[in-house]
Amino acid sequence: MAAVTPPAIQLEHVTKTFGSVHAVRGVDLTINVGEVVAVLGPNGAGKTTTLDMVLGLSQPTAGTVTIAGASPRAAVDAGHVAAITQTGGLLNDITAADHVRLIAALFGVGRARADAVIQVTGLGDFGKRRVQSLSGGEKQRVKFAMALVSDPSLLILDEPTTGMDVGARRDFWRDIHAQAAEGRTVVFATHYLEEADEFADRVVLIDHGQVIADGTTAEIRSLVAGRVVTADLDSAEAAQAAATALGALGRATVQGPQISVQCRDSDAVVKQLFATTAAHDVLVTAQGLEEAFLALTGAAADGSEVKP
Amino acid sequence: MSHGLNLAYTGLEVRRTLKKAVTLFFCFAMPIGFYLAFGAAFGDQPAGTGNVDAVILALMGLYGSCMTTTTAAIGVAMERPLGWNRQLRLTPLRPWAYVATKLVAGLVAAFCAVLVLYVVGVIRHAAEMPGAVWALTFVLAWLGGLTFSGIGLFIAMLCRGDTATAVAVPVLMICAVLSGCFQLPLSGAFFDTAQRIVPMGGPVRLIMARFGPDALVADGWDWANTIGWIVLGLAAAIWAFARDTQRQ
Repeated sequence: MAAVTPPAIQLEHVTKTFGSVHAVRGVDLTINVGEVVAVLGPNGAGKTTTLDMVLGLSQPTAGTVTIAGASPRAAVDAGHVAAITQTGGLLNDITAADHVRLIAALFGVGRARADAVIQVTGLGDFGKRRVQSLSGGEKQRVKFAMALVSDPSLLILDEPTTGMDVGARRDFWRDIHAQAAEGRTVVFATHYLEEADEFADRVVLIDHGQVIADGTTAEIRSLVAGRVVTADLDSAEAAQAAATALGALGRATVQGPQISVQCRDSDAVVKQLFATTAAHDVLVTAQGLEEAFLALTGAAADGSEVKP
Repeated sequence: MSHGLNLAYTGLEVRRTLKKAVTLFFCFAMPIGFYLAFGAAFGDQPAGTGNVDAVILALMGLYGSCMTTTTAAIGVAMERPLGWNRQLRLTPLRPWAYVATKLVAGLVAAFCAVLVLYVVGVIRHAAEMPGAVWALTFVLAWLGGLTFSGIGLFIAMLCRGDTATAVAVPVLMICAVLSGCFQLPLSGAFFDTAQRIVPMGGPVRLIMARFGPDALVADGWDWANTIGWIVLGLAAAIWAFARDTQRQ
């Protein structure tokens, strides 16, 4: 009989409040072993707060968090989970190699392991330099090496490419993908839609402390892949009437005599516009990913949930 | 896996503290400079079983020791904005062990600060005191620094970054003046009382008493001052630490 593998991460009804601020409001989330998951959301959505609870850096106000069936603290102690944070987490006055060796000593895995990680992560080139003199990309590489020391099965990355240039960003993700290919579960927070789209198998969209969409990248894409139809009408009243009539086909907004409809079937919208109104200067554009993202997070502000 | 004190981390912290202490004027350079200057000026006057040069040597050792333990403790305030304690919390090391590492590193570095000063004293060959007094004043100067391990950690946990230095250094300076550590020509009821109360006052008197009753007679109050400030400082640091960790 095959043993049931517990999920890499399980959050059950997790909430976190800071005084009167509800940072996380009832998140249920299961991430299975080997998944590469992007936690996507605007700044202040509750991404970091959620990941901090996964890492045991803070305690949920209510609900439970388990990592491979154990508590976050136990998982950290055992080296099963490691993290790369957005900024900081390094001492300026010691070398890159010192950092890696220190983490190895704290986990009790020995200097040989530290040196192997330094080798694998390409820290050799600047390992003897003090962190102070390293670039943003090099610093993230040091943290990447520190995260690998304990050979974790789960890697948590909190907006890891903030402040990196394009080249460093590409190299960083190439390395992370190599780690995922070895079977490590990777969960990363980002507010770059492209990053989620390009590097994750699954996207969890978070806004206002809630999960508002959860699916494969393809599902999320289909959810947000839409078009925008804009048209001019003769008067604001006519535009308003058209918006009401088109409500069934998409999200219609009116600005003066201009109507704009976010929709999936732009043909149907255009047909109806020409059939029932005096619309002119009709324009159909593909909805950008950013706009779709804004549309989704905007929808969540109304309290509705979008299901793929 | 180490939850508690870790040899490699403590070693690294000793190295870092020493580097900081050497570059910081207050820990090594200033006590040596003061010893050389004051010693040359008043050193040959007798003081109990020794001479004034020896008294200044021991008191400057105490001052250097306090400055060095403070420097190590302030590291806690400097590293928090860097996210270093967050990083350590992703390892088996417990938060209390991080703080304890700073305390131990401070004490080891303080030992080095007193040692270097005493080596300068031996080379200068002007300090006169019996062999036992060399040893006893060394230990008192060194361990007197514990007073500021606790006070320094307490300040470091209440203030962030450079603010902690801006608070701790003046506090230490005022204590050094009022405790009589600088042997400034201050007298009168106010200074006599102040010396008995302020941190460092106890260790200063305990050191001077090693030179015999002709120099000074220490009493139970001096031990109470010394041990009291060490215990109070550490207790305050533990309180601030607990308050800090409860917020998470």
